[in-house]
Amino acid sequence: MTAARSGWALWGDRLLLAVTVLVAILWLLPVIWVVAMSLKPNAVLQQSTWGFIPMPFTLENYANLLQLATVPRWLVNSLIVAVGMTLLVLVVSSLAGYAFARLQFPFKRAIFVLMIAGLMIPEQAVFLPLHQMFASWGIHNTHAALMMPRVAVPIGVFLMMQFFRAVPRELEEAAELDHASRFTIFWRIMLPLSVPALTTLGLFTFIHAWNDFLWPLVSATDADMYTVTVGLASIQGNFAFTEGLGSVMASAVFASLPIVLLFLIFQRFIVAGVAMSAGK
Amino acid sequence: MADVALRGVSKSYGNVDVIHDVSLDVEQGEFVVFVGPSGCGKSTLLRMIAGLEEVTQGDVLIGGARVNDTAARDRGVAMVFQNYALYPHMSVRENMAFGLRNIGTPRTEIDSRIAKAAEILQLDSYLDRKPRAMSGGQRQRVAIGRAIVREPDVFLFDEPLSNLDAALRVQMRTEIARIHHRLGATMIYVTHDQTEAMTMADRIVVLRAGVIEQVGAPLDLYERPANLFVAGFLGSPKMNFLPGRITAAQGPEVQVEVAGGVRLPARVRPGSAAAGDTVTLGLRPEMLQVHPDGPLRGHVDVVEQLGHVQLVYATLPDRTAIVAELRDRRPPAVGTDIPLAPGPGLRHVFDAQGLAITLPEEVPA
Repeated sequence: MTAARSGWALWGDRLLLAVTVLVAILWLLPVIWVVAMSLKPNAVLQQSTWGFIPMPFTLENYANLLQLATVPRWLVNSLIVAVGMTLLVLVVSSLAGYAFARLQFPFKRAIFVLMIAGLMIPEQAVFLPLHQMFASWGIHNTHAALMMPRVAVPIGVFLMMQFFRAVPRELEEAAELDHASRFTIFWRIMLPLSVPALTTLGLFTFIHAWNDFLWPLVSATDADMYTVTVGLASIQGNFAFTEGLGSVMASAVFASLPIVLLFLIFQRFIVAGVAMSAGK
Repeated sequence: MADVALRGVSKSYGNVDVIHDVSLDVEQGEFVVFVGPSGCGKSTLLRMIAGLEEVTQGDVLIGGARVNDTAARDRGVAMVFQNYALYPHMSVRENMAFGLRNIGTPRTEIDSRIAKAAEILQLDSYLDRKPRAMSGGQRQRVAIGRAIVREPDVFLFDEPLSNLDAALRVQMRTEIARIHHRLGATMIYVTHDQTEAMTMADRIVVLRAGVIEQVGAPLDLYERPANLFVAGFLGSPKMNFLPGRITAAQGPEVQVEVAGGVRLPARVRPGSAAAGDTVTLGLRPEMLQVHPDGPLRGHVDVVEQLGHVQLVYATLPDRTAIVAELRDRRPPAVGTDIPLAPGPGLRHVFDAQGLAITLPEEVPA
């Protein structure tokens, strides 16, 4: 009986694995295709884009891309915005999350409900007022304008609040008896303990910031202030005609490279983060 | 070192009163244990002394000064928590140093205090370990060490041994007693375990439902419990209670009739009982003996062999359960009837309200 059941379970596992592998391949195919095309000469691509193996092989498309003076500039912009936004989101989310988790202050519930309500508002809905506001302050085409609308993230505050709530209260009480001020407790006890949560939140914020397209497209109108996503999109049309399809594909690979690297380095945290947000 | 005093202290959460008008004096250097069943308010009382709970009414005094409005960190107390509450990201050394660093203690002073505490607690070789790499007993030692280095006026312990296994609990019990002896500090210790209370305390405070039932030295409470609750709470196995009635009273001498018309003599405070009064007779398990003329007929249900003693659980004819602690390598067989007799020792008598009316024995000089 047990043997028969474990036999079924074994086949079930194999089926699940097969389906997972199949889905993974389906997801990977376009990516491999893009990489393959970016490594082929444009002359070949004009005849056929088919094939996953870059034969004949060339790095010409990447060389062309790097010769464009604006591309490194866009990379730097993206880096400044993504790193800046990540740091600010971590500061705001951890402070606000801690306040909601542990402090008592007037209108706490009302403020919390308002904050959570922020989750329900699609960002496109506030684009016009945001745009007008930033225009009237005259700060469009700055890094600050690219970061500011994304610094207060309800889901980040919520994530950190949940994390801080799970920390045993006795730890804070022990610290209180150890002459620690409220800020010392936050800075020396709670924040070091929340490194896993902060890492997850930081990674997701960085990826989100790097991939962000719509707001930078609206706010950064000066080509020098483009981020990588907006910049590459702006040249794609021209590129396809003048430089060929290979260069367009090279630019796509180039733009996603930092995120791929980030994922490879931090995949443990990203998987844990997905599990964490799914479990709560 | 400081004394601690509670003056009419009460605590309410909304409409729920958890501590009722508690007054108590803890002398400088004394080891006082708060003991009582779960939910009796003993931990709340301790946390009020620590400053982790607000006092609804009354005053808490440490070293003679009222500290109701003093922040926990300024009260000069250190606390050891049940779940250790060690900072998981810090090493043992950093855990101990944390409180001292916060008040700007010089580094050399911190190091010497840690070295001293580590020596007392035999933690020398663990100073650079993280708490997660240590056993429960070691962690609790670190928590005690963290309290020691602070050199507080008062040590507070909130069920510190509850998370440890039985053997370790006994070991840590003696260790804490040793530390108290060595430091001579004022210590207040909360536990639900009457054995811990009996073995460690200079004085025990028995609490029930937020009220102090009795305060006294362990043996005092054991031999002269003020009421049924204290009598039943202290001592393991607990005291046998036989419902009865006074049939004759002459001065302190009374006859108590219990199950099956058995009459047992006892001594009560003169005038505290009259013939016809309903009472409860309390007999400690260790004073019961198997005797051919024993008036109490017990039907043996269970026998527990503990090696040095045997616990015999029996039922009297009126279905009252009774426990006898015998020193007989060949205890009675389960299912048999045995004659039990109260041997020498105090027969406790409690009136209908459950208050002790026993005449205290003369303590030999």
